[in-house]
Amino acid sequence: MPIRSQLRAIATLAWFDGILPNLRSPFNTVNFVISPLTILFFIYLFAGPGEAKFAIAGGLIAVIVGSSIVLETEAAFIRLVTKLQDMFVASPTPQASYVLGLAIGQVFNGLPGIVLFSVLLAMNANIGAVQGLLIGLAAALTWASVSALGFMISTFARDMRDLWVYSPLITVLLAFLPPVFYPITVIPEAFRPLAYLAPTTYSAQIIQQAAGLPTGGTNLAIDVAGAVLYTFGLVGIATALSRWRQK
Amino acid sequence: MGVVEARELKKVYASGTQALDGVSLDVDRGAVFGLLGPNGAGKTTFVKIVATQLLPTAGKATVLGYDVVRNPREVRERIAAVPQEGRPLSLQTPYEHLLTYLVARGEDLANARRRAKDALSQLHLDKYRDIICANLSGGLRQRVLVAMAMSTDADLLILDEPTIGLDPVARVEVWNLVRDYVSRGRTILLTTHYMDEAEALSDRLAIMNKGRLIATGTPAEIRGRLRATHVVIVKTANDSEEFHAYGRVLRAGASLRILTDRDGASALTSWCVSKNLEVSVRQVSVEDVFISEVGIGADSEPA
Repeated sequence: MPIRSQLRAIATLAWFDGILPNLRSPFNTVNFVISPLTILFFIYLFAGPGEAKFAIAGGLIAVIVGSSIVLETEAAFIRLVTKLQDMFVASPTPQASYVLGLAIGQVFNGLPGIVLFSVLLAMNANIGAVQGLLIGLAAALTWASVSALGFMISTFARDMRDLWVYSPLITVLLAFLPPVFYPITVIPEAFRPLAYLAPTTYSAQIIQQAAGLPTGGTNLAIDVAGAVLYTFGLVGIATALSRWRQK
Repeated sequence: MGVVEARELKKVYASGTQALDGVSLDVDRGAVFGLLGPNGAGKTTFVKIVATQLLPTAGKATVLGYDVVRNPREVRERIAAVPQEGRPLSLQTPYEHLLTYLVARGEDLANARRRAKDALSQLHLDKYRDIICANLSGGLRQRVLVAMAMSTDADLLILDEPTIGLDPVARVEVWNLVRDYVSRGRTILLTTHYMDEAEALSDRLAIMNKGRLIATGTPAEIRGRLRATHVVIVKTANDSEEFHAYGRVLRAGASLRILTDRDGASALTSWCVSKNLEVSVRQVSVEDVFISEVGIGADSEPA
């Protein structure tokens, strides 16, 4: 299929599965912002405004993780329950266009949260063009890696019940446990390497550094490299392991 | 060249279940080919392989000359498939489903809009085009999926149990759509476990059971396998010797079906009336062949 047709297919699928349902059921988007806002609230309450800036940066990552990992249940629902994915498989639609369309569509779930936390970040930090680009890069890499993970898991599900546990679990493992809402310096030094098992640690540290927060000597170049490598790795694994045609 | 050519197609799932055991068949252009069989016969596995949704374990299948394993892209450009018990998304309208499906298949926006509107009109869905699918009946939702596939004008349309769960009126509407599609020179491969549907719709059909083909041909050829013209249905639990004198006796639930000729049917009916047995007579159908070939439990009746 020509590249122009593929881009049109991606945009249409994102409109169909992302924009339309959120326009018709807008409260869906609240679901993705409520947990990060709650955490921000408690950090502000108990740790004060200084630490709350970390929670704002973390909230942005958490909203993206939450709205991206939902691709896992959304894609599984379309495959197992509506069976519409079978119609797309038996058609000239490339797998990449289908997955990208759905993945971009899920961003609209988190859009109000992304806007909210971006505005809060801009109000609480000195964000210039370079910092804005870095934050955008971190957000895009988080979206790409988590979406790839979500779609890959969806293709292995035999039943929706297989997945009910994964979305919350992955959200906790990627957004709440690693140093996303707090600086890595809070973790005892011996355990810090464990934090880097989560791709979101790199993304969060990029945003923290772009926002000028005290991160305890982390290196921006290493964080960018880590996030990029993690994203390429996860997208590569997902491409290799995802099942478009069943075996 | 057949639109679909399958040779010794086999499928063994990872669980060890053998779904297809050497299926070979040809589907001719411009015809409806019906795959008939009980649940678990292998019909869906067969059409999923043809639709490039599933890989076979062994054997070969081609669509319009293209191998479904080696040339899936070429096959996919020429087919559209409606899955068994599929349904549209709740918060989107029929028009949005068709438009998205057509654009995702590579149509430009203007063409997709025109085709979507035309298909909805042909399928009498125009008055529902802007209603979200959550507010449509089950029959209308099924027609949305059929409309999505038919809007593509694909050379081969694969319909897996397209009327399952539909009321009789909705079923007939789908039948009409199938006939209309084929009248445009296209080909339809459909699966069903409704005998009347297979007989009414199919130019050729195949009966499958336990992963094997047990009969193929036109409905008339299939009926001809019975070497009988009439079937006498007697409601009785007693499989007495008298019935066997008139022809082959099949047990179907609480009834006996005696396959016989015209004279035999006449004589047996008179005899049943004299014995005060509930009896009816009709010409043989594909359903009788199905019961004869597949067999049926004493407590089950085919749909």
